[in-house]
Order: sequence, then structure tokens, then C-alpha cells
Amino acid sequence: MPFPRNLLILTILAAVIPILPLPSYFFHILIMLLLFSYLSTAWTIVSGYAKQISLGHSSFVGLGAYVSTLLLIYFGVTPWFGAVAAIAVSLAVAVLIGFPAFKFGVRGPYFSFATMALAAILESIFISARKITGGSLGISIPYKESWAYFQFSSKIPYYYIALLTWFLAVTLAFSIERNWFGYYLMAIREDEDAAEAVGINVTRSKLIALLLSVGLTAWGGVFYAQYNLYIDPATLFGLPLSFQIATTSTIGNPKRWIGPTIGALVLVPFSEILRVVTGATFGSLSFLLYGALLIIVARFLPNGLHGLMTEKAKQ
Amino acid sequence: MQSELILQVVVNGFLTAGVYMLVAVGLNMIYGVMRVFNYAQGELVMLGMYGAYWISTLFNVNPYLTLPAIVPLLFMVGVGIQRFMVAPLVKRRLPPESHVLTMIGLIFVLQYSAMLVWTSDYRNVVVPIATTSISIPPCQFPIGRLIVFLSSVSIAVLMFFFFKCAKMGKIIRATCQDREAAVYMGINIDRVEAFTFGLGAALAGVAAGLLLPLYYVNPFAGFPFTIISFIIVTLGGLGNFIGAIMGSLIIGMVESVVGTFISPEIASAVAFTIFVLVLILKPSGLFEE
Repeated sequence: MPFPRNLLILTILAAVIPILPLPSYFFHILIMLLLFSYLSTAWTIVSGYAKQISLGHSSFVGLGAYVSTLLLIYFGVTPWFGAVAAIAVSLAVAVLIGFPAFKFGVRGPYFSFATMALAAILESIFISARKITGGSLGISIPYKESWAYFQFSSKIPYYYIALLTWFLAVTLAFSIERNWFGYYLMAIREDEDAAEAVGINVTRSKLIALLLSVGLTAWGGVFYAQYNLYIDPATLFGLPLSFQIATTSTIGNPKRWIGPTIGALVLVPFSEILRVVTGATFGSLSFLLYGALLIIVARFLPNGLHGLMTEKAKQ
Repeated sequence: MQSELILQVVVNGFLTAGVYMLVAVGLNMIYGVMRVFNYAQGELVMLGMYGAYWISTLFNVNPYLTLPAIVPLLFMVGVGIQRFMVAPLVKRRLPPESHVLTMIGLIFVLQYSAMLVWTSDYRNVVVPIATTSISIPPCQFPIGRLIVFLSSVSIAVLMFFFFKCAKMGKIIRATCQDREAAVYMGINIDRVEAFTFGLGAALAGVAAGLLLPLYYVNPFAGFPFTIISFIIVTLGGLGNFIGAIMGSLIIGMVESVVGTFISPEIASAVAFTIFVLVLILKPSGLFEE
């Protein structure tokens, strides 16, 4: 299995960036870029490779963020251990919804609705448990700078953590793509019934893909909470985040390991620049263009921008 | 006292069901004919509400009187969406996920253009008559909600006869049953689909005009309606007309009963849970024909 040399070069280049004296805002954009690449890569494993399109991946970002934060605030558990609990809880929820859904053949748009509904259920549960979660006002994490609390005064440590996890996720996606398991998922993507007929355990393969994706996503939630130090149900469980994750991957290329990263490379700086230039409230213009871009990609580029690039390269 | 409260809760359940029925029936019809989920149905309601808001504040008229303008306008919007966004996907034989993504894109575009044009402020129109109640002891009937309920029942009846008797209704049903056979019978599928989408959007327009006196409108006010409508049509079985009405009643009752006795957030969690259970255990819906 040839490891993509370009990925290694890119990662090493990214690792030496902090030597340059760049403003911390620049690192904020890079961290957001890596986080969205990471989340969308996680999404791609189940929704791109196996085409079980989840429109509720924010459920697991939210669970990750809330579980680790609540453990930190009420029991003083360090987020590093909190992350383990967060991932465990997310996996349990994923099994709870994924196993019956896959077992009883909840397919296509129905699966998308079920995941959307999951995010909505979790959002209303976390809002209604006001006494514990602070309701829709959310939770501020008290600032204590130390490695143990996963809080740093500079953006550089966050940057390295984001870079490392992104690298691991992309490597995982790459190795799945070149592995029997990946071939199972692609067979399921092309034709579920045919995949079943040639002896692939469709339910199990889809479930494993979902669990891999969810585990990675939950870590993204923990990271988000510790980086932002403020979490609220609407941002973390809300549909915009789920849509953004799905959009980023789709615009890149949901079928290839590098696709989501390409999507994030285009979308994250694009919306940041737009936000700075226009200063529009809540970046409404950037979401508007997101939507337009998504419509265009869905119609003309089934393999996303990555597909466009490789086609151009072949010619 | 307790029995009076329960009676009132049941009445509220019916009235809430009326609101949802208006939106769900349009969505259901579009799916029934075209096998396309109109994820943006709620956004059409939102656009219609802004339209009604504009007209009624600009000319100082009652929002109910804006309906003759809003409904044809939304019909046109629906035809436009079908012509320029949905039909090309069908022509290019793109897979279902392209439809989903196109619709998500459309939601983004509609919500955030509304935000650019009207900002994210909550807006409403005060209509005194809509908020007063008729009292038929032991129950209270808020007039605005009563109007919504009666209109959705009459629309349901009208639609039923439209599909049963009118020529266009029969054509739509024929297309629904077998597209290819419909083509051989000389039916212009493109026009039927555009008309159906327009009709579904027009129903969203009716909902918008009737709901404006009761709800605040902001760019994100529409999406919850889409979600509720999906739950309803899934409960009733996709494309099933009677099922959609029954689904609205179930969800309306759940919201009213759980919302009154426990809390509104738990009510929506219960509704979603029912939805997920039905999806998993009986994906064809509770009211399969």
C-alpha cells in the first residue's frame, strides 16, 4: 500500500508553520480549517464511502463537547479522560440508533431523517435539562491554563493537536479506502442488495463505518469545547453544523480520503475572508454562497472539486 | 376542573394538528407525485410569511387578505424551483443524494437571503381578532387557530375532490402511479410536475398567510415546520393522503398533551422518538393502504 507522499510533505510543512511569526488570528483560521477537515473526513467514512448520508453528525460533536465539559465542571475530570467517556457515550448512542436502523433497512433519505431527528432530540434534551446544562444559554468553561485541563494560552498547542488528529483521521480514511473493508463500503454505496448477495455483511459493515465516524466526531466535539471554552446546544447540536460538515465533504469529494480536506481548504478561508470583508451579521452572505456552491456541485460535479481537479490533471 | 383541562388539551391538540396539516399535505403531495422530498417546504412557508408581512404592513391590510397575492406568488416560486433546480437533476439522471444536497443548498440560499433582506429580527403582525377567543364552556377556542383548523380541513376536503374528480387531479394521480404509462397516454410529465410542485408551494403560501397572525417570522422560522411535516408524513406513510392527516393529529395531540403536562421540549423529544421508532419498526407508515 503506497502511502501518499504528498500528504506527508503537506503535514511536515504544516508542522513547521508556527516557526514563522504569524498573528494568532491566522492560527485560528488554520485550526478551524483542520477541525472542519477532520470532522468532514470522519463524516465521509460513513456517508461518503458507504453513502449512508448522515445529516445529524452534530449530535456527536455535541455529545462529545457536553460529556467532557460536564465531567470537567461537576467532577473535575480532566478533558483527556473526559474525551474517553465522551467517545464511549457517543458510540453507545450511535449503536442505539445505528443498529436498529441498519438492521431493519432504514435506507437513503429515511436514514438522513433519522439522524436529523436524533440531533433534534438531543438538542431539546440538553436544552430542557436546564439545571445541569444551563439550557440554551450554554456553559462557559472556567479558564485554567494547564496541560491537564487541555487549555493553553497560545494557539500553537491547539494547532498541533488539531494537525495531529487531522493527520490520523486522513490516514485512517486512506487506509480504509485501500482495504477490504473499504471495498465492502464502496460495494454497499453502489448497490446494497448486490453487496448483500455477494456475501458482504451489510449491517455490520455499515455499523462499523458509523462507529468509526462517530468516535472521531466525538473527539472533534471535545476539542471544540476546549478550544472555544464555551458551548451551547444550538451551535453544537443544531442543523447548520451538520449541514456544514456534510457540505464541506461533498464540495471536496465525498468518495475520496482527501476530498473533505479539499472542501475545507476552499470553504473555511472563503467564509472567513467573506466575513472580514463584508462584516455581515452571522456571516449570512457566506452561508448564502455555501448554498449556491452546493447546488452547483450537486448538479455538475458528482465527484466534487477534487473530481474536477483530477479530470483536469488527466487531460 | 381536571376533566375540563383535559378537554381543553384535546381541543388544543386538534388546533395544533390543523397548523401542521397545512404544511404536511403540501409536502406529501410533492413526494407522492415526484418521489422528491421538498426539504425546503418550511422555507417556502417562511418566504410566504415575509411576503404577507410586507404586504400587510405596507398597505396596512389584514394578513388574511394578503392570501390572494401570496398564494399565486408561492405557486410561481414552486414552479421555478421545480423547473430550474429539480427537473435538471432528473434529466441528468443524478442519484437521490444529489437531490438531497441540492435541497440543502436551497435551504441555505433561502434562509440566508431572507436574513440579508429582512435581518434576523423577529417580526409579527398583530391581528386583534386572531388572538381573541370564543368561549364555548368549558373550552376556549382562539379564533386565529380555529381559522387555521377550519381552513386545513376544507383544504383537505377540496384536495380530496380535486384528486378524485378534476381532470388535472386524475392526471396527477396517473403520473403518480406509473410515469411511463402516463407519458404513453400523452401526458406532459414536465408540466404535471411543475404544476404539482407549484401546488405544494401554494399550500405553503396558504399556511403562511394563516400563520402570520399567530407566529413570529424570522429567517429560520420555516425549518421546524419542515421537520414536523417529515415526521407527520413518515408516520402516515409517504404519499398517503389520509395518513398525513392522521399523522398531524397524532403529533398535534402529543405536543398538546405532553407539552401541557410535562414540558414543550420533552414534547418535541417525544414526537421525534415516535418518529424514529416508526421509521425503524414500520417504515411504510402506520396507515398503509
